Amino acid sequence: MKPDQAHPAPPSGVAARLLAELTCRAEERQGHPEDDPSADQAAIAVGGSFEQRVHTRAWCLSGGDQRLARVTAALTSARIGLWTLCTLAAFAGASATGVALSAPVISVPLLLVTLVGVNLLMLLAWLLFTLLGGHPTAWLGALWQAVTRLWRRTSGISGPSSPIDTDIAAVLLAPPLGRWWLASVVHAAWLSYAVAGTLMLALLLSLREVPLSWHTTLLDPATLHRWAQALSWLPEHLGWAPERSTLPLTGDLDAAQRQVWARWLVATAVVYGALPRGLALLICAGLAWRARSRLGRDMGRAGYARLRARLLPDRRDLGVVDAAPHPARAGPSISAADAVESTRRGTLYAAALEWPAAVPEPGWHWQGAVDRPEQRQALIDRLSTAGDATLLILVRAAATPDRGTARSLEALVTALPLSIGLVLDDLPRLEARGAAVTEQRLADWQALAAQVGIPVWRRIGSRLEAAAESAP
Amino acid sequence: MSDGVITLAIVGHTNTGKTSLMRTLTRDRRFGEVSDRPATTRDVHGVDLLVDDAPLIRLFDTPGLEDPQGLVALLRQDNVADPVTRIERFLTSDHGSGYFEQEAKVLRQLIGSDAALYVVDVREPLLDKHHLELRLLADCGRPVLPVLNFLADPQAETEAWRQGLARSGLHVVAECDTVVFDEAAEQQVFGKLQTLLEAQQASLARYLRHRRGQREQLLRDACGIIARLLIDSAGARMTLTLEADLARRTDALRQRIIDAEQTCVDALLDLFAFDLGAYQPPALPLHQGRWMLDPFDPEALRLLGIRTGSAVAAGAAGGLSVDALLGGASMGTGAMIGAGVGALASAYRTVGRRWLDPLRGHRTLVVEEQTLTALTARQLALLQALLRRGHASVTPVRLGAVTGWPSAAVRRAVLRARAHPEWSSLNGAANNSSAARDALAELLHGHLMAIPPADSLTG
Repeated sequence: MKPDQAHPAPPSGVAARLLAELTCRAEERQGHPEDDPSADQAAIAVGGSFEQRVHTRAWCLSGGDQRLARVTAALTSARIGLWTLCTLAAFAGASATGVALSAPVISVPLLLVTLVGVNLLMLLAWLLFTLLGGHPTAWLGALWQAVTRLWRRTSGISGPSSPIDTDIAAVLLAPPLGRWWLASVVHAAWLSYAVAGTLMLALLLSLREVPLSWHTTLLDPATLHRWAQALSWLPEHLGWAPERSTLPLTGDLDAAQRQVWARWLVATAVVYGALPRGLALLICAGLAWRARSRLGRDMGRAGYARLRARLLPDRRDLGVVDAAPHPARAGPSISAADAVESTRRGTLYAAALEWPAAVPEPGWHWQGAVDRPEQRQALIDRLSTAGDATLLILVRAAATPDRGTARSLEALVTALPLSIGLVLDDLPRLEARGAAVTEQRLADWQALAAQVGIPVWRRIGSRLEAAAESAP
Repeated sequence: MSDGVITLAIVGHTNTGKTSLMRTLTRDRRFGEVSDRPATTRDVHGVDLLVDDAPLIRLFDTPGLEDPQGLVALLRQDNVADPVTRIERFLTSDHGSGYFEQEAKVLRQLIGSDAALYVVDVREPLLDKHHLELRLLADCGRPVLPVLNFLADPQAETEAWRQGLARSGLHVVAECDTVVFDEAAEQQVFGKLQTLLEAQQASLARYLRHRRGQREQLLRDACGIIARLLIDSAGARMTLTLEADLARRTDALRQRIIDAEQTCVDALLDLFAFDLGAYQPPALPLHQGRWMLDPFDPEALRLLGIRTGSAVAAGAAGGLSVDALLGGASMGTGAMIGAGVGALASAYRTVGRRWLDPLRGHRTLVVEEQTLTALTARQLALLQALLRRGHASVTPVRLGAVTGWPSAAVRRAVLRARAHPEWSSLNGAANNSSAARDALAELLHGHLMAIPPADSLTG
């Protein structure tokens, strides 16, 4: 999927990072990264830092579009869920206030409990829960599934739910982000409740004659007054409430007193209901935003780390720049080596081809090393008059049977009338490299000897043995 | 030679390990073909080494020189005094009727490159053909850096080669055994090239820096992956409700840990670009997990102490209840631990639930410390083996003897993870927190850095 196909522009921000994170988890689950060279190429072409390339690749992968669709659907459903919740909460707040204000005589404390008390109590409970390190993830997943299912039903997305949805839930609801995000949602809902309630309160107080009163049966009036004074402290300091000393005592209130109390009510509702929730919402939203910005950035995860070699390549293959024109020369068929006795005739001369350290047997006429062309020429001069004799050429069994060796042997074979044999010496050194290597090297030596047309033996102790069983 | 790219030709006698060196320098285990036969490589094959997506060094693998004596004899037939001209005339000829085709490719590539890396198999004696090869390379007019290979082999004759090369005027020699990879040796090759290619010193220095950075990142990523495995294993839990469940649940937990370890190993091998079939971990010595977290476990107490201490103020009444929950063996910590609702609430959650669960018939399976020790030691041993391996090696990784904890700090960090099941991704929960993993990875990294680099001759 190239960047310019299907999508007008790549996703950015949260969607891009969420997509990368989901892809990472899917790949970790499957055990290895997806093998999609075109996506890798696209990511490299776009360039940028490793993180950017990872995001580009996630979007360019073959399943990227579907995943992106799911991601955006999930984010949208989250937003819709949030708005729905807030609307419902606002409704609840407004109707609670409305109901509370529809009684024949309104008790101010009761109104406060309805509007502010529950809200504040829940806030304190939340605070306690958070400070003690609660982990809400366990049941958040279930909540998420329910919301997603609702959204998909309402928006008509068909098809079974896939691991992607679980992954999205897993990523969005994991402890650092999930806790603050959920807290923000809860605060937002309660804030809607408080604000709607306060607005309804203000509205009803402005438009209706509400018989406010401050009755009590159980409590001492003085206690009630002290409570009222205590509650007024903050609104007073914020400049929204009347002076404490002007607060009337309990009993039925007249019009002016009711006005004062009404204002006090609204102020208290705002200060103790909306304001704390608003503050909590700001803090939690800020923390959630910070946690969210860390999504899809943890490049130390296994799923991302394995992409580093692909997306920041350190090599490029240039291919063959100078091809061999013809196929490799086929080795001649390997024939069985002759027995030693049948070819050994006359004096045994021995020389070491390109190996100065060979140790001759007592019965050999040692000619020394013939590593250099001059030495070979000298050998040819010496032995061209030798008559009926055999020349054994010793080579290290561990040496590589290359073309140079073949040519040297051919030169000796054509120049000398003697029968020449190849002896593979110092076998232990070759065998130390392993059985497979030994077998292959012996076969290569046999091929070379057959190409030159001479027999080849192995030197084992002081005996000469056939190099190997004949090949089929 | 053009556009700032440093071109290097890898040359040498046939079957000395040129293609293996290419594999090691390019970190590509599938490059070319490697065998013990002569003339395996017959083409010239190039690879660019990139830094920031742009090629900085261009490497060319060449066929081996098989018959330098014959080639020198052929060149001598041409009565031109200047050796470079002689070679150029040879290259435009029919290469001895095609007989010296391979050698022609090598020389052509060398003339088109900035320098040559002459690979030497130090198990072979220094012979006349090698001297002639060196003379041919020198005649091409390019700097030659001998690279000694198969140094770790007991048949190596390194000193003889050094002396022989010195007699040919090559005193700057690099060692790079492609079977037992040493990061320092690879750096040495490019470092010594800086001496030979003075004009490109800055580029080579830049490449060296880049390689070091890559290696560092690789090590950090590897430590992160191992840390993730350890934290996941340490925090893994399995709840048992019925007696009959035990065998099946133990197997299930054991299988999860084994699968997690295999995933870790796969990721490590992939990071280091090795075959994923190269290493199969033997069965873990996973003993039967403990049935419940020991409530007198100092780690659980420490956890309790931290939570309650920060939540509420101290009070004697709470201390007693905490003590009661601990069954009387307070070890004096009960009185120090705070009191109040906060203490009781968190006490319930951490210790109380563990006490209530047995009453309800629940038990918890956790991973034993010795299993965690084994996991840690094995992954670190594997990582060390991977760091020391070259890409030309085709035998599977083998581990040496596995010992205990690498350090007390690592042990503490891993055991602390045992009391945090929410950090483990093996428990089905999502996991985003990288803080614990990063901290443990840092400890592992520090431990690995503290190990002195081994003698490059030992496997």
